[in-house]
Amino acid sequence: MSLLEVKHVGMQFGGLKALSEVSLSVKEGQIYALIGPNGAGKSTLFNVISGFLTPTEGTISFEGKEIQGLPSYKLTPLGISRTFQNIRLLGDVTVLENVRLGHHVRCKQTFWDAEFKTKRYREEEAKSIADGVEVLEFVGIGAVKNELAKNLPYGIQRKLEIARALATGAKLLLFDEPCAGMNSAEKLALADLILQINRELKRTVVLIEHDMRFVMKLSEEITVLNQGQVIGHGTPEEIQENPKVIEAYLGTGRRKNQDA
Amino acid sequence: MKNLTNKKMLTCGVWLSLIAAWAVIPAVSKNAYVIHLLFSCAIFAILACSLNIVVGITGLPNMSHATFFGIGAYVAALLSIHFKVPFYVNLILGGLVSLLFGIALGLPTLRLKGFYLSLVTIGFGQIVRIVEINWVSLTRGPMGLPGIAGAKIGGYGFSKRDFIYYCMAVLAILIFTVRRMMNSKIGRALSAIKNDDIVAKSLGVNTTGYKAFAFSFSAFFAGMAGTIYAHYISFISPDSFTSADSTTILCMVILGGSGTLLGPVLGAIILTLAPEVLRFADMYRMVFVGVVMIVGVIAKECHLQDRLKLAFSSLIGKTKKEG
Repeated sequence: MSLLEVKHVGMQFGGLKALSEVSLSVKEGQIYALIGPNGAGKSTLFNVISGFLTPTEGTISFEGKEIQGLPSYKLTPLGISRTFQNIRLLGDVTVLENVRLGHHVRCKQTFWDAEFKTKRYREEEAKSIADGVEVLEFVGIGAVKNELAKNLPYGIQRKLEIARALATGAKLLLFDEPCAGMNSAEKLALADLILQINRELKRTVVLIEHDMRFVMKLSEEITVLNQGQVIGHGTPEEIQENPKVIEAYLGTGRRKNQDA
Repeated sequence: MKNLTNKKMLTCGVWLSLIAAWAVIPAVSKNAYVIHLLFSCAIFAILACSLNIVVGITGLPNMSHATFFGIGAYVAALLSIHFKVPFYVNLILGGLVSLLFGIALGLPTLRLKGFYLSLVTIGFGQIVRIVEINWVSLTRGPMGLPGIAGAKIGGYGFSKRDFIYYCMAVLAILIFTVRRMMNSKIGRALSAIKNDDIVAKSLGVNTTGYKAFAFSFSAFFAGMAGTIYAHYISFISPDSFTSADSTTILCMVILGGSGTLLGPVLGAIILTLAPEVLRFADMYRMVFVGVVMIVGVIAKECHLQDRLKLAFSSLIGKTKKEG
């Protein structure tokens, strides 16, 4: 059964149709990519899936449960977490505190637990620190855990955002352009990290990315959007051969380069 | 690391000297004026600290904090005059009614941000004030409510001096609760909302719920301060809880350092004492207070406080080494 099922989703902003009749299905354990030119509606689709927008048409189901229209804070505990295209970190707090915030939905403590430092509070605080450190070590930035997030270099900030999404414990991770602005060495390292997240932590990943080498290396299935519509779907090989996709996005020059 | 511990020591030192001054001066001084000033400092410290929960910790503007203070005071006054409810029961009831108003203001409006939210809170303050003035059968309008009973436990009546200790107990509870709250899931969620509420939402924080929580928590303590004030002063009128008071409290938070525990207390003391200390300047004293505010805020923007603290702690470090 598929983990995430998007069926005939449409999103209308006034007179602008940002998405129409978009359907896709992500299986558990997959790395799935969304590609397409700027303005194709990829980020809008992410916003719809992650609860920041309510689709005007269609249904979205996660583990068989319909979730369209639920606010994002209700989706995180169900198991969906995302990162943002423009990095959104809490700059004035430490790296570790950023990750511990990801732990929010897994803490059951109440106001009174905190006031009286009950056993539950103490256990959860200790666990969220231990888990936070573990996640930071996993993505390879454990050394900077006490730095302020705003003082970190760009590549590490990206990793921190991923770590924070991981810390929520979500099964489905939505990465919006995770390697935007990175050099090729950093991209390679990030691709490895995403593979590790997928294989070792058994998380399903959906990602938006413009770098075709990155996408082709990582993803098992790809959906191509253009002007709010699905114009292609399939494995990386199929997508590279798809004439519609080549015309709208990949371009013919690219194929020649790859042939060469 | 060393600077950090010195900084901590400094904060501790300021706390201790504040507590000592607040505890000792009323005990030795017979001067009613001094007692009243200390009481005002303590009341405004509660107000500033509670406003800090909304403004400093959650990052939401609130221009109607004196309104919650007033609601608490009116509840205490009415209950005390009509039903002879004792002051310690009023403390809780006043807080609770104020809390309800906090939720009533909070839930429908907290999707708003920034200027819009400030405007709504200003409007809320004005509405409550107009009701206080015009609902004459209940509040006696601008004539105010006189004859609120003092505080009494058994046969022992509170002196004005005892009210200072009463305030300090409430302030201590407030600071303790806020401190514990800040070090929990709730504190992290509130600081996330302050920094970026889209991130907060994406990580599963029910932002509207937490904002309403911050508003009501803050209103609860403001209401409590109101009940203490009503029983202390024994006469209240709508003039005691104006938007100018709300602005003053906001200035205390910002001047002292929003988001910290000690800052709002210091801000409250400075802005309560400044007009009194500057009395010699007669009509120009408010100008001085204005200058203090402006210089204070500019100094904060330039991190003057941190620089001074650093300079101070390195000075301490030097003398220690030499000694």
